[in-house]
Parts: sequence; C-alpha cells; structure tokens
Amino acid sequence: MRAPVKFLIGLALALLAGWVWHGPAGQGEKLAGRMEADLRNLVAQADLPGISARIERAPLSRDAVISGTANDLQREGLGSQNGVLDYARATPGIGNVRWDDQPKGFSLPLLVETLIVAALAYVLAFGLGALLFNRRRRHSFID
Amino acid sequence: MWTVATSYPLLLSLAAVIGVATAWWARRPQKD
Repeated sequence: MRAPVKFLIGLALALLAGWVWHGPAGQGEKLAGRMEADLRNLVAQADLPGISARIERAPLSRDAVISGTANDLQREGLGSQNGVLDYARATPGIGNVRWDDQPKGFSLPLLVETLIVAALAYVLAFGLGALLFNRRRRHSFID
Repeated sequence: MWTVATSYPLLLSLAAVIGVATAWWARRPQKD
C-alpha cells in the first residue's frame, strides 16, 4: 500500500475518533452543558427578570442565544454599565452571542471544530513521526 | 477552535498517537 493511502486511512481514523468523541461519547454535549451553566450564571448578574440564556443546539455550537424582554439599553448596556449581552460575551469559550430575535450569523458547529482540531493534531503528529522514522540511519562515520 | 483544543486534551492525544502510528506504518524501507 502506498504512503499517501496510509496517510488518508490514518486521517479517517482520527476524524472517526473526533466524531465518536463529540457524539456517541457525549463530550460535545458535556462541553456545551458546562458553557451553558457558566453563561446562565453570568447572565443572572444582569439582574433582569424573565431573561433566559442557552447554547445553540441546532446544530450544537459555542454560540449563545438570549431570550426575554429587554430594551436596547438593557441588552447592550451603556458606557461602563454592562448589558445582558456583555455578561453573556464574558462567558469563557463562548462564540457569537445574539438575542433570539436577531438573525443567526455564521459560526462553525462544534462537531466541525472538533474534527478540525483532531485533524490538526493528527497531521502534526504524522509530520513529526515521518521526520523521526524516515531519517537516514548512519552505519559508519563516512555515511 | 482554541476552546475546543484546550477542552479535549484526551482527543488530541489520541489523534496524535494515530498520527505517529500511521507515520511509522508509512515509513520508507531502509536500505542496507
């Protein structure tokens, strides 16, 4: 079997591992759940009744969606006074933040981000491994 | 992307192990 075919088989395995990690192993949902808990704690600091916050789940991503009734000042804040969206944006690892009546912008689904990260780790390790395993062996000092 | 990379160290390690193992499998034969 030729080396590029082997490289592609390895890449497919790494992507499969990424998919299993995200979906069947439940790590994608776990990460989203953790971010959602942080998001809700931060949004609660705005002290506005009837406001709820969630992580986008169709498809699962790091984006936050805020819903409830609030005027522009309450949403965006003014000067040093934080609005609800400012609190949401302070969530560690959060992607885009929007109110539920605003159009959805472009962002990568969490699965795609996971696959990209797995592919990068694979390619980097393959490159280092190729350097290590393909170097010429010295048999004597004149080689 | 960075958030995902730092949240999934085990997945990154697994992908790296697959990468190294594949590099070994695809290595050039050594000439004697």
